Amino acid sequence: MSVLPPEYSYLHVARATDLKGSERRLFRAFEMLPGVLSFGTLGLLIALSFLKPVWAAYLTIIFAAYWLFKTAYLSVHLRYNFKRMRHNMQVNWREKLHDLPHVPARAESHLVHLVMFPFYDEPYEVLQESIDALAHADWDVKSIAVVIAAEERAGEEHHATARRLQEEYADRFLDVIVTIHPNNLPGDIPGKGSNLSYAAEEARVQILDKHNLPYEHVVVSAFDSDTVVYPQYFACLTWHVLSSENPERTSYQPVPLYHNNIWEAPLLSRVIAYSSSFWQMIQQERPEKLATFSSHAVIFKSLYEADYWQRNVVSEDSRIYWNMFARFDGDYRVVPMAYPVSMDANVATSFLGTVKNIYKQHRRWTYGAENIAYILWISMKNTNIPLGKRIRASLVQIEGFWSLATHPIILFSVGWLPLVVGGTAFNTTVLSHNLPLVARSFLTIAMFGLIVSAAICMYLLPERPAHVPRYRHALMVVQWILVPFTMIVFSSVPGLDSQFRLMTGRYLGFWVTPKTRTNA
Amino acid sequence: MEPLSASRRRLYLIFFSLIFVIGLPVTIFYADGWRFEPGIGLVRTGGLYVSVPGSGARITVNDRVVGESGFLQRSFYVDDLAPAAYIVRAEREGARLWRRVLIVEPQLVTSADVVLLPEDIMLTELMVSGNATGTRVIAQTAFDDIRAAFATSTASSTLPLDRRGGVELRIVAGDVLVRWAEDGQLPSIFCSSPSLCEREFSVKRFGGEALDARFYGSGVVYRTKEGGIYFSEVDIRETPVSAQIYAADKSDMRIIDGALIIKSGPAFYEVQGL
Repeated sequence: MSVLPPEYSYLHVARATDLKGSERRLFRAFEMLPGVLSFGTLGLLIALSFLKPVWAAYLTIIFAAYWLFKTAYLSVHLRYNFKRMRHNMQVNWREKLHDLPHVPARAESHLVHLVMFPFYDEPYEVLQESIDALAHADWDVKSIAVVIAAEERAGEEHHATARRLQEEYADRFLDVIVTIHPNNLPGDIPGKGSNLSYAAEEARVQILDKHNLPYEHVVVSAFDSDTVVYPQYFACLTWHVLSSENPERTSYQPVPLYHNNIWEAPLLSRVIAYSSSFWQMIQQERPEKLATFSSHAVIFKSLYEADYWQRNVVSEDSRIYWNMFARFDGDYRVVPMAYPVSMDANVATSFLGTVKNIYKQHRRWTYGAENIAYILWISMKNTNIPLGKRIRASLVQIEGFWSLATHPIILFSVGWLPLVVGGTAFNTTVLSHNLPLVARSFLTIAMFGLIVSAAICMYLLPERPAHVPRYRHALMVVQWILVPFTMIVFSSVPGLDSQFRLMTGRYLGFWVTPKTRTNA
Repeated sequence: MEPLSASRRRLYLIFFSLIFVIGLPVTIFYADGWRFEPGIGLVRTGGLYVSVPGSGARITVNDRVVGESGFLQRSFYVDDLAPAAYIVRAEREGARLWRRVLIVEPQLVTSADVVLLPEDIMLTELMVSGNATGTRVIAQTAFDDIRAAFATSTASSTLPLDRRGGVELRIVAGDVLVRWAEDGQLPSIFCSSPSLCEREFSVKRFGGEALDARFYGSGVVYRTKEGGIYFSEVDIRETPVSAQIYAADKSDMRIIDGALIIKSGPAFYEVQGL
């Protein structure tokens, strides 16, 4: 039963089709906005290349310069977060908890960690590795409860996997439950959000109420099935919760490092895995722009009051932040932990399969553009959120998805179009001859940022397994030259794909990233 | 360790924004050909773009070497040039000197395609038998095809005789004319300076009345009533490369399967090196 106050009934709107009349038309317009902006930008640049090639050339130079300075600015954040993460990994957070001046007696005693593992058809080994890491955390594991959240549609074989894990780990933790998310519940779309939501409510009844745990004392970590914690994760998370100004109005975000299986991953997959992690590291130093992502944590009470994750969206990891933002009238934030969790890089049985999976995963992630319509929607519905916060949140998200979809394409393809279609008049100008020189110089300087990326990557890299040849180490450096290619193919193209779907009302369903182990 | 503080981040943002705001107009002005000259202020410059057909050619602009063509570099862009006339030379061993006076105008690039004619244009006589020096044996059928090609008349006409990339070739009153047959801006070969172009000009440098003309290689070959067969570069600017290929009255020429064949009496010659 929902505890959502009626004035927040708009909170779980997912798409225009959930609404009627003028509200539906408005939400539809909001959904179209990112696509209109991105395709409009590219269309404008293409049209200008034919009609006003000089203007198009100016725009390309502006984009290239903007790209360079943005890269430099973000690179500062990446380097700082790397230093902070490296520092945080050396800290004994369990000891540090006792240094908290205002909460020394509370440390380790009253907080319970509820760890949720939604899964579909991942093999036993994937989940086992994740749960085993919890059991070996430097923490009182008897204050950790585990929810293995299976899907009815996955079939009995996978339910058996969940029950097997429950049996193996039941006596290690405070509690281990298996939930099976039924098919076709009203208002659900198949996917992680609906599964998590169902499992959270089951956990409330079967764990929190059973053990009489106050909801405000339970920290929920919404993991993926492949999330493997480092030993100090719970101590670090607890420290951040206890040192937070308002723990119930805060989500906690670790850095997802996609490298559980990095030595098995093909080159392309590795570049994308680390690029994704680096983006999260950059965002960690820009908390005002940070929304929750995979493996976030939140106080159960807040989650309960917001009626859990949305059951009808694809990007539930980030949407939950905006749900909370609206539910608590803008008084909500994300605290970056600068402490990692390890997850899987995308690996399929064949190279082509991996490419397809990466594309689909990134399309799902870039489908986060659906949040733009939602943010505009809640901004309109909830005027208790300060206006500045509403405007800022909207602009940050719009700019983010617009630049993600358009900038790589402009810089590496469309921006050069005036040289091809600009005509003889343009091709005889100094500008046409200097355009490639100037743009190339900016992009080349920007590519120096890749050296920073390569260096950080080498530091973060897990130890090379004995069976992996030494030259793969060298490839871990060389691989970064693929970045311009990956930015277009796995950032811009899926970004435009997602935005086109939103624009045309062909909504995307949830796609589960396949996870495997070579020994599975 | 504390997160990156808001004040430090603001400082970075201001720093990078300032560089962007100051650097961007400077970059755009630079890309557009504007340069700062001490004592004068901002001046508009132009550039030269010289394409070279092969390796080993040394390019100079006003006697200053700008480079030598190689496997990877077949073109040279020289910018920051004040509007003026520049003497561009291309030299390669075994080839005739290519020299051109190119006018540079503000914010425009004057381009030229170098034509490197060999110092000795080789003629190989085509035969069906024999092994004398300067001859090449071809099959009887190929020889017959050549003979048949020359049996067809190519009388002069005011209609275009040939066309290549928007440029038409005509013979008018014994002169060989090239004409830009398309709309829009004319290519640089029709322009004595970037802003002074003509739609039609003569490429005939030698001989009397022209009887036939064709595009061939990097220029035009034409036949005159007296004098023989000539090659001329297509460029309105001084001084286009020209050369006599074959000196004999009543000689004739055809382009057969991409090769320039000259007929002189009963003999056929293939021209090489153009």
